[in-house]
Amino acid sequence: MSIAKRVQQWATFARTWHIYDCTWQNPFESAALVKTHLMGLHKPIYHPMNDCGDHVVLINTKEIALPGDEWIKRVYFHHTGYPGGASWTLAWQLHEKDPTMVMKKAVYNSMHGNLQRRHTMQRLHLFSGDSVPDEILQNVTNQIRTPRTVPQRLDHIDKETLENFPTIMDYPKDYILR
Amino acid sequence: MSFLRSVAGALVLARPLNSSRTVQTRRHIKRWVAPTLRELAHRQQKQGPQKPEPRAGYVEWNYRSELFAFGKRLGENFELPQLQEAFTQRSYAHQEEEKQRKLGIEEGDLKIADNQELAKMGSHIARAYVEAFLKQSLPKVPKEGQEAIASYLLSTETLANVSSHLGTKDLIFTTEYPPSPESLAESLQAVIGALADSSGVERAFLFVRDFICTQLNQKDLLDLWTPKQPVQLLEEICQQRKLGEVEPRLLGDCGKNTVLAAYHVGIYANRQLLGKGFGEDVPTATETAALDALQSLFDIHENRRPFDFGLQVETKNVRLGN
Repeated sequence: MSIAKRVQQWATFARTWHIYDCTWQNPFESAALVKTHLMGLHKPIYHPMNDCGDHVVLINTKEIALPGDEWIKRVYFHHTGYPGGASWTLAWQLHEKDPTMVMKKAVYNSMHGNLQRRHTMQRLHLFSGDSVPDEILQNVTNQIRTPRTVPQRLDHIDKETLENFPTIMDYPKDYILR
Repeated sequence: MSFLRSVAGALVLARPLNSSRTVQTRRHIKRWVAPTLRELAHRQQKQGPQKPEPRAGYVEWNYRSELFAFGKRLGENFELPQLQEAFTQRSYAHQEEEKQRKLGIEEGDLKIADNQELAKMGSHIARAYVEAFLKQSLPKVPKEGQEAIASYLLSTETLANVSSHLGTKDLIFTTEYPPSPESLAESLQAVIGALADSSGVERAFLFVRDFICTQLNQKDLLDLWTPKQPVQLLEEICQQRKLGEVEPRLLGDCGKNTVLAAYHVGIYANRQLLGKGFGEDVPTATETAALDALQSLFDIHENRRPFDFGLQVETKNVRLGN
């Protein structure tokens, strides 16, 4: 095998590092996307027995947005294995305990339960905030496009911009703003 | 084995037919069959695999017609004495002479012509034609590369492979059987020499083109010849062709801090991308990028146009020398 063929192989099986910002994203919709990259489903060389998955770094997992009333309706079940060891935790409670857990479980549950799943999960790096260690951030070379655009929040717009924003009418002088 | 079994079966069947008593076929196999078969298998295994038997050892072997058929199969008209000489190895000739001397035959009758002269001539013709062919089909490759490719085509392994697939294995007179790669290669060269003697050197050239040059088909030329220091060579080439200063640039990388780091480097000259390469570190990637650029410059890329084996190299371009 010539050196050109060897490095072709190396490049084909190189693991890319992706970053994904979870702010205002639906974890279950995101999980399908993240799973594709984690397992390497987007690659032409994909095969279930081919170890070709990429790394994905998830940031801002504490900013996820569950659809509808999922925060209060979704329940995470755990059993310690002992009698009476069952516990049911609501999504908002779990999120309070560990802000990466909902996202992690969403990705984990999006994959088929086989022997490969836990190894694939090893390539998922979760961070509740936007601070990522430099060593990991240097590996990243691609950003996964988020399915939902993040709206701007009124309370995040600075006061000056708000005051100078054109208005379609003026309040009467005696109008009391509460 | 199956013979024994059938014998046993026949015995079983034969019995009731002879007797005029009630017809009752025996459905079992005799108790001695299985241990006998086992013993025979054991002996065969102990003896090991059989040695290949030369076809010439069989009664109905007709060497002359085989020799004739060899030429006709290739669509060539050989003179049979010449061809027979081409298939006679020196070791075999010596052995025969020794045998005759022992029998007391006089020196005058002893001479058996061997293929040394023909092989020498044939190898000369083959080398000359292969070099001319490469010069015409790979005009942009430097001399060093053409030599490396020619030496692959004319190596003992390649020639022996061609020779054995042309069916010379049973035609060669050698002391060993099956013939060694060296004698296979040498006899092919001698066949080329014999062809040049019989039908002219032009015909021999076509033979070399059709059977030796075609070994290049679908070969990765980088396997046959890889420049030792591609970056330096590329710099020299760019200077010669006035393409500008060679400049490697990083096109991309992934997993920098991991053991699976991959770098993608592009080689530029005068703002033009010459080649791209990958590697586990930047120097390797630069080297492969330089190789890629050289492959494009020399027109030896994997996706190049296939070799034209219908190509006629003009005889005046073949430097036969002496």
